[in-house]
Amino acid sequence: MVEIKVDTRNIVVGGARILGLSSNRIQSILSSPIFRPDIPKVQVTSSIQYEEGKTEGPSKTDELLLGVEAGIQIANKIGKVIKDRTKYLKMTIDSQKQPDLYYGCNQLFKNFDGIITFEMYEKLLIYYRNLTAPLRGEVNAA
Amino acid sequence: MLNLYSYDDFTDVYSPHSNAGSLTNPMTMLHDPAEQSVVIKKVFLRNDNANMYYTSVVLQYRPITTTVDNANGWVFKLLYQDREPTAGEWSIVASGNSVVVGTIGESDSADLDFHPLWIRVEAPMATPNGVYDEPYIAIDYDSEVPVSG
Repeated sequence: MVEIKVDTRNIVVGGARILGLSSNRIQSILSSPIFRPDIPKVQVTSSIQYEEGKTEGPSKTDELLLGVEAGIQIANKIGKVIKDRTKYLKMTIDSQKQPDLYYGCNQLFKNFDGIITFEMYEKLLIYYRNLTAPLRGEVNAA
Repeated sequence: MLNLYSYDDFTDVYSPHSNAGSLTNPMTMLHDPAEQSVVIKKVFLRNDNANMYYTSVVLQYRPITTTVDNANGWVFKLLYQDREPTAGEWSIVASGNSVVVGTIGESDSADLDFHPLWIRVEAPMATPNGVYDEPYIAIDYDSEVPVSG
């Protein structure tokens, strides 16, 4: 009998449930070359409303997963969770805590009032994917 | 060689997990200590060698210690099937169970498909924040045989 040992890791961290992140995604983010201290840091949300009337604040995991790329991943996963569970998403962008993101949204969305809806989130995701493609080592084949 | 793979729906890529404690790409589960944390994960068993097939393949979480056998509140279960198991199906599986897969491939052809394996890990309430690396998933097989075709 031959035994192959496949590595597993269980990370216990507060706030993970709120974000709805998969452990695989966390691992990808943490092992990615993009997760470097010299990459500009942006937190994607200051609060997440994933059910009508129910808002969660930033969690410890938010603090762990900083960076533009991590923010995209968080938004992407939240979007999927929301889409599956409630078809409802609002992310509040705090202009004081996240001035760069707030400014960017203000440029992208007409009459931006600090709230990102699901439709806006999808546009934002595409925007950020394109913006950070060079950072991820993606080269435009054209 | 046989290995377990995770599928990343963001990049649309299957990635093999690391072996033998190198921990360069472990299969990772994330738990929230505020409540009983149940993580169910779908991974894939795959042979990446087109020249080999494998007999008597069995999967199991190991080592069978106080962690894997549920003595301290952790639960580690495996189910080998295409669709996600129901709560009822999980309930009749013991922590640290073994899953008999059988033969991967045939004498005249290798099987290079990705075969779904469902993993259920439960962390007990109030587990301290941290990284827990001890358990691994064992892929046992009797023999690695060259395909004749």
